[in-house]
Amino acid sequence: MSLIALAFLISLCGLLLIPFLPVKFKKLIAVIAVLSSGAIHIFNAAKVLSGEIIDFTLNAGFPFGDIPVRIDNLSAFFMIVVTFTLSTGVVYGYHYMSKYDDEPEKQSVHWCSFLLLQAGMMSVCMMQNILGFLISWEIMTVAAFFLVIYDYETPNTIRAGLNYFVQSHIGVLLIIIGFIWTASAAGSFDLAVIIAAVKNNSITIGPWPFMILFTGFAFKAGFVPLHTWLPWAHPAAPSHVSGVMSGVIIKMGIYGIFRILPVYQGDMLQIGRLILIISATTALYGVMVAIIQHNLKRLLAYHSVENIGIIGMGIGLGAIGTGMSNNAVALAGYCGALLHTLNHSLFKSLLFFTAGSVYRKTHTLNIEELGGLAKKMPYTAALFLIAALAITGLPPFNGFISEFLIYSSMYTGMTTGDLSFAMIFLCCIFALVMVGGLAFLCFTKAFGIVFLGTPRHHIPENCAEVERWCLVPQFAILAMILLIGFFPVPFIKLVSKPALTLIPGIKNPAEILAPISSTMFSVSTGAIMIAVICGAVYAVKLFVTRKAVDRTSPTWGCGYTGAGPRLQYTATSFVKSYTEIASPLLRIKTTMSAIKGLFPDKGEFHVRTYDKLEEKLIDSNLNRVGNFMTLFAFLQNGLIQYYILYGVFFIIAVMGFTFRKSIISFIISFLALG
Amino acid sequence: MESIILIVTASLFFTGIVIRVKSIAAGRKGPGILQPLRDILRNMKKGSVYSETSGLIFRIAPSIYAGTLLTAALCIPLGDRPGILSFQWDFVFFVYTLALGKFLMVVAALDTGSSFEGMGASREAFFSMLMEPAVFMVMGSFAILTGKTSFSEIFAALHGSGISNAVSYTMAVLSAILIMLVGMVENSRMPVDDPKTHLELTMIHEVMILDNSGFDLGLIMYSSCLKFAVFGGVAAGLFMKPGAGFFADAAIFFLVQFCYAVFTGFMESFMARFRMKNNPQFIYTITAATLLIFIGAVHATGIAGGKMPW
Repeated sequence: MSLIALAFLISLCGLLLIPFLPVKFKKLIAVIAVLSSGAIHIFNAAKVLSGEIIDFTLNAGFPFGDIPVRIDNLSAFFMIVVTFTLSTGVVYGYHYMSKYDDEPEKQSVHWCSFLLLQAGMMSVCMMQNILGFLISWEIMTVAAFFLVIYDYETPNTIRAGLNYFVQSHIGVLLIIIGFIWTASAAGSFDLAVIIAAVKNNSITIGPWPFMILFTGFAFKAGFVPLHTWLPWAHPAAPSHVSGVMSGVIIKMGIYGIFRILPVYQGDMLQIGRLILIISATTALYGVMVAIIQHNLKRLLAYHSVENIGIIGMGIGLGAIGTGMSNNAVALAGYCGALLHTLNHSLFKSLLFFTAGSVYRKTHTLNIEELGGLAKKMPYTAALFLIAALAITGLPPFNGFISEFLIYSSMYTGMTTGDLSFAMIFLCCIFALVMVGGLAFLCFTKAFGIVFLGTPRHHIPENCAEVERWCLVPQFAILAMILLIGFFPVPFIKLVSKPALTLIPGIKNPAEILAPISSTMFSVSTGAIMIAVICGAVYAVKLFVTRKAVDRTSPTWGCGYTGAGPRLQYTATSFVKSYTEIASPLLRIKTTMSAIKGLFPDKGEFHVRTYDKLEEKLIDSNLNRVGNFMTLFAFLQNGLIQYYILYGVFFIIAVMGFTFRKSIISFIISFLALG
Repeated sequence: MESIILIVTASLFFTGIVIRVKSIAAGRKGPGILQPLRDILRNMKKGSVYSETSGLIFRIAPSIYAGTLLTAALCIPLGDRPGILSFQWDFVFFVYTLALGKFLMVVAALDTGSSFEGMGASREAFFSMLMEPAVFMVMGSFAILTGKTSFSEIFAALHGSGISNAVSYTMAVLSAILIMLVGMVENSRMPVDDPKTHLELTMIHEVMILDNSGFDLGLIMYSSCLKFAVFGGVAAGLFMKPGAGFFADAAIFFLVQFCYAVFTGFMESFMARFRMKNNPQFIYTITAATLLIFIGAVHATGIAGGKMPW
């Protein structure tokens, strides 16, 4: 308990100190505070995962009452994931923000929000009291909002920020409704009491509270079609914030879903099926739209949607496995989901950090303008490449491990279930394979166009590798990616701890875990084999060609010698065959003026892409609401007298409503007298 | 262990047989069976010419391509003798390992900054995206049919363990054809791509490797042979009976590889390449045909029996 208090105290001290220090120390204090309190949180989490229980009650006075602070395996796991990404984010941000050193006030708000974000996320993980949970959730959401709108003078940024703010509060509203429902049914604000009541059927709430809560958390996580805030907010935020947002803030939605899964009362098979289908759709839609993006960070944001879908598939499989009482399916599903949560937080934050480095050095994120950066920023290019391979789910990197678990869960379910489930699993396998294939297309494009070839547009002369201290957190993430990819077994053990608590009625956990572990051991052998064999082939190449003379010459232009950078394939042309067959599902607008005649004018070609779901579901409905609201626009005439009059009307109405009985009786008696 | 030796052996002669078949079909004298091997060795001894635009990726990609292909080949069993890498759902690992090599080749093509190679890279990435589901569907259906989970277990349980021979061999033939077609698409051969065409605009794989030379080119050429042999090895596994001796299995293996090579040769002699636009349709037809195997598996195991929801 004292340790937890100490961690929060450190954050508080940082919060109080930061506004009064010069810019350089603001950042330093923020880094120190995040790292030191993060170390304490990780220590606590490790204690919990090794078997100790942290569970105490905090008396918070009148409105809240007793707040149970409870760290179980699930919280501990998420605390570790969150802390790691926050730590790398804050170290990366230290340098990233140095170009804004002339704005001390803005930086104060920024770094204070960062500390608040950490405190908020940690207490979301720890609080098991509904009120406490909601307040921490709100702190987290608002802190993230302030982080996103750092560059608030730009209209686009503030719009993206408000979009995020409104959408997450619709989510919060749903979460509040769901929690009030369950709390009033169970008569307690303690989540554990509610879950126990649901489990032994002493209260009947049915599936609806869960569905409402799920929708609320899905806003945060970004399940389709509730994802539309995500591709706006991520590019608007500074890169270390986008990394943290995509890496862990949206994962709090996943944490929420895991947390409330036991609140579901009803047939696990049905809810599992529903989650699985929603998630498969999310994954497919996310990656399909990601491919056509031209802004690197927007592309990555849509990939977050895709990966949330993959995590959701794992959750759905876990629920289906529980419903079928097939523990192998359930465990592989939940383990896959949790491990993918960790994996995605790693490679996605790395991708955003490298994208941030690209932006810092070239001042653009438009993929079409970039190219050839691998020569100027070799480390950044290598880091991006490995993160791209990992997010595509290729061995020997970590993304493959979690996707493999989800595959194995689906195949196990397919070979043991009945026909209707075999069909669903088959469709979902198809979906996951397609997601892998589309991600392959998308990241060959992103890496190939941004980092390889020659620049497609003017790139600043001073474009060079980022500072060493910026690379340190990125290499830390890289080490984790490789560690999980090559030696997955300890990490499977780690995620199996929270996963096992989600599956009821397991008598011998070691027995179910053994086949997964042994398979993972073989996968790990395979991963090492890949590295060894590829290395060996390259060594053979070096040996055989040791005497051969290598030359360099211009790229072969098939006889055409005037080839320049403008002749290169662009991002749009690279995915043209894809956009042709997928066009009914996408919204792509091209405007062009063709080159005609003997003395042609300047030709133009513009491609604009938009999210079709956003257009159909959000924008059109917003327009409808807006049109309806304009009916009342006459009320807002800008004259202060009218506004005072409205106030008087309101007060009279309120008073009239309060004394309605006496007024009516007065009128009646008056009329009767008359 | 036996399987990798056989696969490497088969890979040495595969393209030679294809070329022989093509020259016989065309009535030409043609080169000998070992000519492709000689070409590969000659290339490997040469020095390379690298594009000025290209960097490290371009230099390591062919080695990784060949390396991943070899690793993937380690997963292939010989009948009931498991490969060196054999575990639950190893075919997932198999497909994803192949994809790793392809990823590197695609970005290496973009590394040269050539518009032609960008075109090839774009097509390769696009078609391999479309191609990926087929192997998953075939092996998943066999997993349902046999209740087993890895290449070697599935092949060992396919024939003579409760499933009637008529069903198992019908499915084996159908899947073998599909897997061979997958192999041909993966290798960018007819009818998707014509390796012998002389117009860069219409190529896929060949245009992607325009700038590779010397050892790397030899390695890529050999990888192409190896890829044929790997997919042929999977197809051969579908016909092997458990308990048959090594020589029987090896005979089946080489017979299937030979048929595959002859099939490829005839296909390339008597068919014209599809229009690039029709390739997605062709590839999805292959994927759709794998559904037949799924339906067959569902019926043969009686999963559908009595439990049909409709």
